[in-house]
Amino acid sequence: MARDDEFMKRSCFEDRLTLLPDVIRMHILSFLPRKYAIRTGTLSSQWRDLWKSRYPYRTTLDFNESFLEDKTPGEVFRSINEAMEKQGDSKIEVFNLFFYPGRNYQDVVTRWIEQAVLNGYIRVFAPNLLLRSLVFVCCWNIQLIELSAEFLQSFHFIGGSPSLYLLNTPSYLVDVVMISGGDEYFKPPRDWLNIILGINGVEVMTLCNKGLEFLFGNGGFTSCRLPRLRELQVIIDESRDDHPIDICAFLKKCFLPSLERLFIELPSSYDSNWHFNNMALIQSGAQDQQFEKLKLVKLRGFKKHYKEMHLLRFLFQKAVVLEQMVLVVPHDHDMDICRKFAFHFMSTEVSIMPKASPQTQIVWVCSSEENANLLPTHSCLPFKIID
Amino acid sequence: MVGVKKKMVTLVSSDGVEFVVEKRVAEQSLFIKNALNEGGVEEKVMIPIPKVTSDTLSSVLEYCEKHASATEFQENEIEEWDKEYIEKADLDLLYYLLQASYSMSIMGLMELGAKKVASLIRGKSPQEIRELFNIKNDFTPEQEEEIRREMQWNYE
Repeated sequence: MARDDEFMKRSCFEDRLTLLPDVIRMHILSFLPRKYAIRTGTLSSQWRDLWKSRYPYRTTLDFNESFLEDKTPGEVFRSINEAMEKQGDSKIEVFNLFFYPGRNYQDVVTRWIEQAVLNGYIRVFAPNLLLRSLVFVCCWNIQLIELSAEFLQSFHFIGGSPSLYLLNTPSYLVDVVMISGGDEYFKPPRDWLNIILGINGVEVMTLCNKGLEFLFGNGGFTSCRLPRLRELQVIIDESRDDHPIDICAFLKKCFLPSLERLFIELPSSYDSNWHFNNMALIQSGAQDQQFEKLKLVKLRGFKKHYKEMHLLRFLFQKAVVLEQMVLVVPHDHDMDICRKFAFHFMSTEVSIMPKASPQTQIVWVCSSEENANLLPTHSCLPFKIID
Repeated sequence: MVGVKKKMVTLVSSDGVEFVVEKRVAEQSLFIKNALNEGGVEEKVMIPIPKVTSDTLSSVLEYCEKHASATEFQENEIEEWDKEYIEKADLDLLYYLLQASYSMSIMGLMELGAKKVASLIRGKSPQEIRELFNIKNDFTPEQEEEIRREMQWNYE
């Protein structure tokens, strides 16, 4: 026995270690390498199974590069899996994963990530992870997402306002949902270029006005190109937002040559202090881009607000092959279709607007009678958009 | 801060010894911090610390004193200090410190003590660990065999 141990043992004749509260003993075991932690199971009956629960008080699960040292992939996998199982439903504040899952561990890695994102910060760095789809739903506590998954095809985020960093360009991204229910904006991206390149190939996208601001904001939509986008859904909530993005300006500036279907959730109310700065832009120039393929537009929550009328006028002018303009009127609004007189007034005003496409059909629907026809691809979002 | 009267609290160990310390030092313990917050700071100056003897409490307060002033030191200075502090403790004191850090909610001290014990376990055979900590092997031969098989699977 080493001299150090002799000194330690000097005064101790009782087994007080075993008498320490389990919490402390588990804490001790959590500082041991797995091998030695397991070995304590052979000490006595009081230690038999303790090592199995040595992680429950951890909120940090850090499987970083140094964790991988001297371990075979199988060992790494078993260690992480054991820790994740012990973690169960407990809170995870930091989840740091640096792991090459190969083909064998794809499903398990996905499960770990699912478990981790239920609460907290997540940093996934899995080189060559063939992650195709990543869906965060109602993850209100996530502060930061760092993602390295170049084969990602589908990214859905519904939650608070995290910082989002893509560590490489996802070249195959075709399906994006970004909706923030928080009061803050998504934090501005550090790797803006990656994101712009990443969404270059997106075909179906749903954004809230904060998501729109996140992807295209600040630069006044100058570098905004979505050449393959076929369907766009925008959810505007102006009442909770000091500087709402101007959807008209966005549609005017963004290059959207493939857009076929456009869905816009209009805000339930407008901030009266808000100024419609870009009005002049919208009215100018006939040489602006046209929507060569846009066939369907659906505006939900149409209240004949002057901003909505502007948007409508703009779309009629630019959508040269428009077939259907669906206007969903809120059920409890004074413009309710049920109130014939006011409705007649509104429908006349809309019908006489100049239209670039001769076959445009205007469909009026009351929100209470809205059926399942003509729904956007992302129609089953698990939260109430407008309350 | 000359002339400013420091707020003091009195802690009473389980064997009845009183320790008068600065409030900011005592508050390294979440247990004490909560006790102070609950009962209006001015009145409640005597806080009994159950199950912690004066010898242990004096050592715990040495730790709290250092860490209450942690901002004045470089991080590695504190680390060095922690290392020396825990090296000085024999097994008896180590147990008492762990117990006290747990009952007084001093996370840093608990971690320090737990790491120290872990370092004593690490690298030893089960028999060596039992000898060091006086742990009695109470398994039957059948149980031992069963455990041995289980271990083999885990070592694989």
